[in-house]
Amino acid sequence: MDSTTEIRWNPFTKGYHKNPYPHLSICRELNPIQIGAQEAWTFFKYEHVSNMLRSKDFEASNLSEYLNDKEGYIFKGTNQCPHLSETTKLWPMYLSGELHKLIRVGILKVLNQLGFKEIIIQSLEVVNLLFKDKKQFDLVDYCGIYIYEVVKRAFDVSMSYEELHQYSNFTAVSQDIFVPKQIYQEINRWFLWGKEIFKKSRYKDQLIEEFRDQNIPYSESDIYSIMAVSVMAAYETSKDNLSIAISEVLKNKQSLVEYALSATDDQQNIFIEELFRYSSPLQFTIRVNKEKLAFHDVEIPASSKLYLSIASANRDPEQFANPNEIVPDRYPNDHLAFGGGAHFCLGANIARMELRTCLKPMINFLKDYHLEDDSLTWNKQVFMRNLKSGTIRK
Amino acid sequence: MITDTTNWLLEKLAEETGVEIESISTNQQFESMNLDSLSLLSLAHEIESAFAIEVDPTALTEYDNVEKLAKWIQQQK
Repeated sequence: MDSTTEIRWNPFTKGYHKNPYPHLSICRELNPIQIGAQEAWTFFKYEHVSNMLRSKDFEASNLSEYLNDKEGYIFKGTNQCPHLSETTKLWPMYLSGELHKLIRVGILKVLNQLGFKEIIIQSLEVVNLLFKDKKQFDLVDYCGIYIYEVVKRAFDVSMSYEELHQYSNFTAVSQDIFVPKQIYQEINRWFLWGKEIFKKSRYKDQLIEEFRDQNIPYSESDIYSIMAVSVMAAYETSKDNLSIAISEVLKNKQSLVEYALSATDDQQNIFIEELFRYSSPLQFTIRVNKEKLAFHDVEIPASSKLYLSIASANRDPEQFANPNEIVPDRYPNDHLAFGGGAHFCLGANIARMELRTCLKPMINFLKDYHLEDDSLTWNKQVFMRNLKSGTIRK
Repeated sequence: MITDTTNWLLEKLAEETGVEIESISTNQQFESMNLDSLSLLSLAHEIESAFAIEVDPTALTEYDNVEKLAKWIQQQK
């Protein structure tokens, strides 16, 4: 075994959660296809990740089946009613084939009826008014409350910001790797709690109507499964992307703040795509290969679990010049922050609309504040990178 | 005390594997105990809470039996 094959991806490497990119870069350069954590084949190069995301030769990995298999162990000796597998059953990112198509089209149709444009504008007004006279606050709360206002109005759910923040985070963690049974039990408690919250919701009614129109058989649990993933995807990734992106802009006050404030609409749209590439809250996704794969000297049997590092692909110098810099006018920018192919992020256009609406007003509001770099803390998540807090002071 | 840590680990392993505590030896590899990755992660999580130390889940691959793991836990405290 030579030295290059000994390079192993390990998200517990010191400092990984604060900045995973140096470690991902070493993996990409020295051992870009490797058996990594939990016996999964792990890919780091843009070329491989992009091709696999867009190819029909790969399927999504089924989270619900995995959880169904583990529930006996997770809940042994507890009095909890298992709801992990049931709640994750219809999450579109883990479905394949006809069912995936049906669910995806149904959700997209209902999302398009929710009137996000108006909701986003209203939500921005609320958050800037709320923080107007504050001398010091948390950047994650500032971004989180903006997205909370969007989610609350769009999905018509009644929960506090703190409740949504926790519910969404535990829902997101259910997809992570290295999750112990104690955390799964906590996730299960939140899944059960959420069932009550969604009892009355315009979004729920519209989903049911859509399922009936399309003659798709559904149960109460199926509808809850879709509501849970919708709320999580709408809150968690938007909040993470926005908070990471804004923290990076504020760190580069001289260049990026000025650029954001003076950009035309077209320039801003290009800048926003670069922020998505750079932030990449979704760091990894999982696929399963239908057929045996061969890459030079590596052979991978059919039906293997494949971890695709979107974060590493988005910083691959073979695809992006100066990949570790935010280049506001980078164009073209074929980043993978929203995935690709049949599982391309359903909320991508909403995330773009949110950032296009808020970037200039938020930066304008924050330009007189200082972000304390040392105050940035990160949650210990691997697949979805997550800024925990960061102090903003005048 | 290393004996307390060893006993605590033996007790947890007996719970996880469902076998009698007496039948687990301190130099038996975790791999041979029918513990999957989720069980090992959950054990790591329990060690974190009980001993107030940070446990990288991969530590259980390196310190792969009760004797080694108990020593390592003592050094972290």
